[in-house]
Amino acid sequence: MAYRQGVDAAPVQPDDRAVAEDVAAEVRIHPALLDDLLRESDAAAWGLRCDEFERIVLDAGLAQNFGLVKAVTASSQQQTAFYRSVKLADLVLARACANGIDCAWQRFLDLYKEPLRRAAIAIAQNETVGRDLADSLHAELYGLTTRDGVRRCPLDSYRGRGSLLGWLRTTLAQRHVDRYRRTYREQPLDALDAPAPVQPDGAAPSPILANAVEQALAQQNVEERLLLAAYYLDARTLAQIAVVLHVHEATVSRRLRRATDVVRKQVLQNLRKAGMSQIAAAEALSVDPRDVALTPDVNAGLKKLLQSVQFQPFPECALQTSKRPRGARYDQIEASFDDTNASSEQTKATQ
Amino acid sequence: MNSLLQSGMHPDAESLNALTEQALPAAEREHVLAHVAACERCRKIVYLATDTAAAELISYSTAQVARATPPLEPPQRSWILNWRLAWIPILAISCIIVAVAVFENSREASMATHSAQIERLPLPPQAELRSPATSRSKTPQMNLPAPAVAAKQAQVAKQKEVGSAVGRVPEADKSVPQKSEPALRASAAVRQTDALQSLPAASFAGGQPQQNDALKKEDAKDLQMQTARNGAVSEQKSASESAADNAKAQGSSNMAALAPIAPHQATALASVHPPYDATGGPVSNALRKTIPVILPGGLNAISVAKHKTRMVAIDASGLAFLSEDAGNQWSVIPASWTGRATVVRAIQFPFDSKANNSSADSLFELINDNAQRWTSFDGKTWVAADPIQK
Repeated sequence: MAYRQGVDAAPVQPDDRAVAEDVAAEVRIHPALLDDLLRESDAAAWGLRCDEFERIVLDAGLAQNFGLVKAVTASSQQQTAFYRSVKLADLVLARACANGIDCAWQRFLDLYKEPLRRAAIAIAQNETVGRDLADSLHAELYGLTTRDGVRRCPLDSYRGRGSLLGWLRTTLAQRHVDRYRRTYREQPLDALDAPAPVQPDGAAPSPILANAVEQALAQQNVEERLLLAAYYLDARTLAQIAVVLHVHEATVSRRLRRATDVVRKQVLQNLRKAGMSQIAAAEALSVDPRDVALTPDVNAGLKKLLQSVQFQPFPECALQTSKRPRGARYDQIEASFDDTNASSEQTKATQ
Repeated sequence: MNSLLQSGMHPDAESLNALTEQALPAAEREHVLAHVAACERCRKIVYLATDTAAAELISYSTAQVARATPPLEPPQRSWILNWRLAWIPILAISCIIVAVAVFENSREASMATHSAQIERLPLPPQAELRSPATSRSKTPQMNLPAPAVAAKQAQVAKQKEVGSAVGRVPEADKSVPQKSEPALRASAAVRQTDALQSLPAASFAGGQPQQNDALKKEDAKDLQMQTARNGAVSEQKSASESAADNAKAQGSSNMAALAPIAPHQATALASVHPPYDATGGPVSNALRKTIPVILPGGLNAISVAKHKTRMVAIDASGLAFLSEDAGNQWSVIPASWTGRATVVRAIQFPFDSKANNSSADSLFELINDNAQRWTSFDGKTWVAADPIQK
């Protein structure tokens, strides 16, 4: 997996080109397989020559070593399996565009110009910004960006595991998010004179609670963590989460409920492990989650997660800050709050 | 879980796209998911990409469905519904055409009636020898009401029927152009008199000069008949003369036109006269059905007059018959007139005659082929009415 440092630049792809050139002299693709691949990719239809196709396909396979670990020479079957596992047509087109073949660019523009423009507008939710975003990506894809005197084309990073259109959408989303994160702090000068927000008075967040929450979340499965983050932090809907995880909405809801219960219990357990009594752990969970140190930007989602305990000290705050419709969860919270008030009054009366 | 903190290195677009398209191996998927769960930026990218893909898919599906679905054809409607509102003006135009046709037809019928009526009127002396169309256009027309027009139409039809039954119509038609001017004038005068007598008095309220003359003529006749009933023949003559003088004084030349006519002219005139009922008008169809048209002589009656149960009829040979029992038994009337009887009619008096004589409340009038008239109160005794013939 290719990563890069920073958020506003194109990802740095592994430099496989030199290795591929060395291996290309030894590795050859079987002519029958090449013919099949040429027919399947439909590259000849938009004007790609056979020698160009062979070179592109071979470079693409060698760049990933045909899906094998390095220093392993792929057999013809492994080559066939590799080429069958990727989006060969999109891969050949992207590589041909990266190599600057005109007919490939013509084909690329015919296929993806309008979808890319529509996707950019949908992502930016503004036609002007969307067109600007699409144009900038077109220029970047065309290779106007150079690094160390070498023409850089982001299409080189496409490896054919997903569709080229999906890759373009994801790249657009990357560019848009990076632009937003780069510019959202840029405020007009008038905003500088605005009064600083008043810090709420209250008890300092407990580091024990922060550690307990971190440990509880870390113990969850990655998908449950993604569920909790997407639902409580990003305020995504069950449908959106279901699309990402490729499961049904009901499954997302069920798994979300189970993960919430598990996290709450795990937090209480971690607090008790940290030396708190059960009552103290419950009172620690009653702290306003916005004051928890480990999550300076915890939003209402995590607040609800932490407040959905039996002892609910701030139900009004939870209800006021909630963006979600009133449901069974809030009814349970109110019922538990009523029970808590009644039990506390009974305790006071007994004392 | 800090969304602001970066996890250091982010998955590239290829990995994130492969994650959303479920194209990553399990191990790499776990790795990417762990990063995405902790990285707000990558989560946003994934959500934006998936949302855009979903929207694109929806729009593409919609376009495909719209492309694949044939355009909806309008449901088959019946031919009358396809006309929609176009049949309304067509129907209106048709109604207008039908109404105009009916109006024209009725107007032509009324014009024909007027023409027949005008033909029966006397022609001016200067216009008598002209063509019928020319003389008709220059003859003043009478304003006749609808009942009178209908009666005259029926009368014309009956004339044709009687003429065809007797077989004299062609002869009369052939003989008419051969008539001399005085004979034509006398024939026209007789026809006008008959026409005016057959019309009700209400039809003469228009004030036309010829109609006034006819009314005055009728008054003179009534006066003449009244004097005849009283047996004062001399007074009758004087009354007739005075009436004729009055009519002449009023500018009417119709009475003066009652000159003797040729026998064949009278025959032609009688052949076109229909039977008359007790009121002096033409016999209605119902009456004609009840009256036995076969007389004891074996011939059909060419003229019938009836008052109450007393009937006088003339057959085609000129014999006159009298029936006291509404036509059951007929007896021959001795001919006390000259020539051949052609027309008989009954004239009912307007005054009450019950006090005097029940049989004297009507007057039968007989016209021979010389246009001479005889009158009778009982149908048996006939007295010459025209002093001219004497």
